[in-house]
Amino acid sequence: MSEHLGEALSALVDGQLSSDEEIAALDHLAGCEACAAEMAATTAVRDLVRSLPPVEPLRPLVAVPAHPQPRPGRLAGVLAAAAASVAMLLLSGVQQDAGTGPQVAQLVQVHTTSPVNADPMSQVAPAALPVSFTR
Amino acid sequence: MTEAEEQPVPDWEEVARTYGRFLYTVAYRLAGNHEDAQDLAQEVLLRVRRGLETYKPGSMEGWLSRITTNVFLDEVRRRRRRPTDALPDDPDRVVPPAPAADVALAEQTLPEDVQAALAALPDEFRVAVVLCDVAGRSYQEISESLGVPLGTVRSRIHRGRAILREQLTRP
Ligand SMILES: [Zn+2]
Repeated sequence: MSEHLGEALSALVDGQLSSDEEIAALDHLAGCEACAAEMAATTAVRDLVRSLPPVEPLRPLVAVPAHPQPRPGRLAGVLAAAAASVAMLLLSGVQQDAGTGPQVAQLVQVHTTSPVNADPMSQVAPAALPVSFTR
Repeated sequence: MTEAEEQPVPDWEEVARTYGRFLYTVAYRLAGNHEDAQDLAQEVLLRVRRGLETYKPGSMEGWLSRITTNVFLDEVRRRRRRPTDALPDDPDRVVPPAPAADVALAEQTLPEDVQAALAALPDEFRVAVVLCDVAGRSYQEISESLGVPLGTVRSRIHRGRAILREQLTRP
């Protein structure tokens, strides 16, 4: 009797074996209950992941770098963060709130005024695009 | 449009409009949370916008999946501080699958549970599973995207699923 299918089982349920391999695998499967059970379980897990729903972004997607996070001892990061704060300040029309600061205020504003289904480009892109960092 | 014609690099806004949900879904399943998914998806769009990625005419989903994966793995490697961490391919870290008593698995399992189990996978396994089952890529494409042999793709997908199964059938 040939070897158990092992890791080839996923490729089998995905239809990703070569035709020769597939013939041999199906041949083995016909006489091996253990592999048949493994195959059923593998298929069940595969289907669970496949059936995960699509995920909607919470905010419109724009082509900007990830928000820079200052790290201790990293001058570039600190400068980038400072630049971001200044840019946000300018863009948000100088909202001075002692507690949160302009960056948070801006984020909250964007967050609360953007309906999920809005055209991703129309709202945030003009404000966000001028803020550009080199990595 | 003739097939032989070279296609220009797609416009990022067009990509965001048409494939934004696909891109974000792949990013979310890889990253495991909205914050990192947003960063990841936007970095992908930025690379498209800056023309940093060579566009091979073919499936747009395949192209975006490859870029997303590469950006994600770059970030993972950057964050991985301790070089002594066991490699995900280390067999000792892979839990053998539970005995097959999980026929009812599919009916009772919530998407949140699947997402949590996915997030707990070693990164290399999660990447392979997400590319296969979320992004819908072939093993050959995954092999090319990751720069690993086909046998490694098979192994990672199967072992990833074995761990998911173990997690999801745990009482
Ligand atoms: Zn067998």
